Amino acid sequence: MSCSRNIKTVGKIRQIVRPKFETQRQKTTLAPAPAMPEVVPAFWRDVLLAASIPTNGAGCESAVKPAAQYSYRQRLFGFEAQLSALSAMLSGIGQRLLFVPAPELFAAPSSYRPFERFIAPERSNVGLVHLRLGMARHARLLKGARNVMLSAEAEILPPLGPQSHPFASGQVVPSGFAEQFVYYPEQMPLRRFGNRECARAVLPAGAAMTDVREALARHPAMEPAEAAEITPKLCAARGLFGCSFAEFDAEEWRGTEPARMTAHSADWRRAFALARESGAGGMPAHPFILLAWNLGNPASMLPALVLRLCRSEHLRNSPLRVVLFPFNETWETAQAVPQLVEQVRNETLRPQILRSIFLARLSRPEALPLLPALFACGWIEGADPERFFTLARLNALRIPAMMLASPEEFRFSSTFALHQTIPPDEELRLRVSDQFGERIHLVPSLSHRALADVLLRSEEMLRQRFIPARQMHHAEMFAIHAA
Amino acid sequence: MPLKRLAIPTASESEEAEPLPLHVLKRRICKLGWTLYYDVSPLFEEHWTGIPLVAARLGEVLFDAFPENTRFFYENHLVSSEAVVDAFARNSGLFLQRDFFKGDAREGPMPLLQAGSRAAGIFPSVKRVRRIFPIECSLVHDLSTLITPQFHVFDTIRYHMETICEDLASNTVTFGVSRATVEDLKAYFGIEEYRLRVAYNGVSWPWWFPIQLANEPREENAEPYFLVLGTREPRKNIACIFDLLNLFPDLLEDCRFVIAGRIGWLAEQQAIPAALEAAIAQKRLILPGFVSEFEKYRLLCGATATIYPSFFEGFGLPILESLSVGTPCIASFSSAIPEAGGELCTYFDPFSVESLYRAVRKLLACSPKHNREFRAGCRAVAKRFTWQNTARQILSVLLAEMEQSAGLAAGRIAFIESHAKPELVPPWPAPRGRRRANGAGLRSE
Repeated sequence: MSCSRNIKTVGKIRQIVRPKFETQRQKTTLAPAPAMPEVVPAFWRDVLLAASIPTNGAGCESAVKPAAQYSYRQRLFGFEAQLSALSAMLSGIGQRLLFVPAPELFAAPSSYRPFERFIAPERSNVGLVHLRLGMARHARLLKGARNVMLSAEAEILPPLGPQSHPFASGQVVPSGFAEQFVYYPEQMPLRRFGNRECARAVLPAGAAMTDVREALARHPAMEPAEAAEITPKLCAARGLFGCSFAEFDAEEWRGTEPARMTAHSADWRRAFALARESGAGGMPAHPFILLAWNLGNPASMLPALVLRLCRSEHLRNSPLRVVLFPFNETWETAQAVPQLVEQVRNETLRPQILRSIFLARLSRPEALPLLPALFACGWIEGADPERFFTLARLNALRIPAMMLASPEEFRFSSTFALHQTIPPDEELRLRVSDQFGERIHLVPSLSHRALADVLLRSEEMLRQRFIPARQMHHAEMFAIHAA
Repeated sequence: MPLKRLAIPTASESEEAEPLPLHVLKRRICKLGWTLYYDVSPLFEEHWTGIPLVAARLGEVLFDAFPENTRFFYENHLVSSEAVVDAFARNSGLFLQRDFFKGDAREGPMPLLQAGSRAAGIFPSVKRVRRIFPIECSLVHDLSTLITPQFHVFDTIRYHMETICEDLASNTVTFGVSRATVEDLKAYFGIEEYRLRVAYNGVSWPWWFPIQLANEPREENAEPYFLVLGTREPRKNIACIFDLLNLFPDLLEDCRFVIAGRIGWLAEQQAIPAALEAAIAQKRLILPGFVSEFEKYRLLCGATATIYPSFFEGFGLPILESLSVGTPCIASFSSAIPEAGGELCTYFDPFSVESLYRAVRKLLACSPKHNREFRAGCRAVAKRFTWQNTARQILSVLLAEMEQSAGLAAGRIAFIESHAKPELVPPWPAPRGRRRANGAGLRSE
């Protein structure tokens, strides 16, 4: 008798607890995902589609190859994620996508011969469409093809003073581009060189996260409750690598799949082991925060923010572990990550803090379903030109997002689920020197106090998101006793 | 072999009329009374390769053809013709630069040129000054600093990119050194076709080179070697050669490899793999560094073939140099290279070491070097790509502009005469005193 009564009581309690849990989840996730986009622009059909990204082609062994054979350095955000999503979208409709590491190679008629082996024998007179992904200031043309820019960028913070490079603004593309395709209507319209209009169209809904959805369909996303099952070994096997700032090795980072990096990082393994000891210190499993770092944004405040985070006591006192995911790495920014680590190592007063901050890279789609269980929330830089695209990817992964130091004038739509926005309370003066010249950017940023607030809010989000099994058990027992 | 299945709109080869012979151009330009001003800023380099070499050869041809009508200048200063001719002879700008900045090679400031002045400025590379001459033209060698910035250092990129828009806007006509470069200018900057022309680079060897080479002792049964020419910088893709020798060491058993050229920028990306150190020690792989013009000629003549694996080129001068001495060339199919090499080169994918290996093996097995057809083709190439032809292509376009300008000036005078005359004679009766002063009026009286 008492047993059955207890069961009923437990059932009631679960009814009480679950809706609360569900409410929290709903608050941070998107509405049901739309189906796989079925509509692609008409002129993309019955042509050879070739995509290119701002890489220097290092490691490529052919001037033209199927995009499926491209070896990704990371595929979570940025132009490589664009390539991954585009490839998945096109394979969904049975269209093949080619990858050209250097579109500038093709000029003389005979140089196009490598494309011919990708044309079915029965077909002739096939047109070529070049889809350029990535930052507008790095846009390149494939002559002889119809050139289309797939842009993931929204507004860009302009620098102080004039810029001498013709494409420095990031809002101008070469004259030969026929169209610009954007993922979201909020994105910035580009202009062709000479202040000429560029035809603009919006890609089918969900085009930014086709690969994420495909990966989640193949391997169901792990729930926060299953977080304890995730080990560094499992992560590495699926293509998610990480290491702490203390153990970072620039040589290992340079590799495509830095398996050694993960294997060597005792801090990374320790963070997972500590997380499995859930409940310790009242914190639930995997207190990781995902920090998206756009290396293609010269006016990024993140290096300064990370330095500030490491120099302050807040992170040291917090149970949170910040994991940086750098993306949009080009030849120009390849040194940015080692430089930041070096700077943090030199300027941090307490070396222990270097063990609480990590660098990670996700290079295979199988690792995507692990992320919802690993990360309590994701931080996005508010002035990052690719913030919409990054946010959409986090939304698709059901990781609540927090927008840091978002300038007021930057538009935002309700298309996205955004948990919190932290307004800037400081302005950084950044001196940038790159191929586009030397310039100064005034970048909205967060003060020490605001940063401490962000950490506290993130901890709160972590508590809400990951209801640990022990807490659940205590609540149930309390309800039983109360009954 | 044309493409059959891929619909690629081939570059609109504007079939321009054959440029006039130099002596005709000279006569007509002199008749119009125009002076050519030639910018010598690229000649201040010590070693002339690439752009300085092109600037020197073109300047030399222009000065030979128009000694009275050609002036040299640097920014706003005239440069002594003797000093420039001396630099041509030395094949180096070391002394020219020294003498110019010391003041010895200066000939005073540029004359003040008005809109109607008959002066045309020719800039063989980036313009250090602009909008000085009524007619200005410049040569664009490539857009590699824009299109492939990863192969350059920031300072070079900024130097070329800071003024490119101004340069293009101030040019009456812009010359690209290949059709591919012209197409790049159109595609990236949207410049109209009529403001762009092709002026191909040329190749020439001093007349005594073949004689000097013939008089040198010859090595009997010399081992075959492949020659790679070019400054060691990442764009030249020398790393591809290192990969080739690393992956296929059997090649080093059959032939030697010579990689000649000065060490350029970003050299760390072209570092020689440790695995090839033994090959260097055994002289199977030779890196002589910068070589003189004659040494280059000798190496070219003796090579089994040359390899040019560059990722991006505005033209590809070393290919011409190789073909001009009848040595086959294996080149990447990139950018403008097929324009220079035509059907005579063997092309490969610059990303694929395997395709380069296949091309090298093919050439080792059956070299066309002594093939009659191949040699005839090489002679035709040497005849087509000469600095005289480059000068003709440039001057023909300039002549048209000069004639148009003269025609406009003549038309302007005619217009003024035809429209202004009636206004000079007032329709109403002139005052008596003035009528008297006027001869016609007096006659009418």
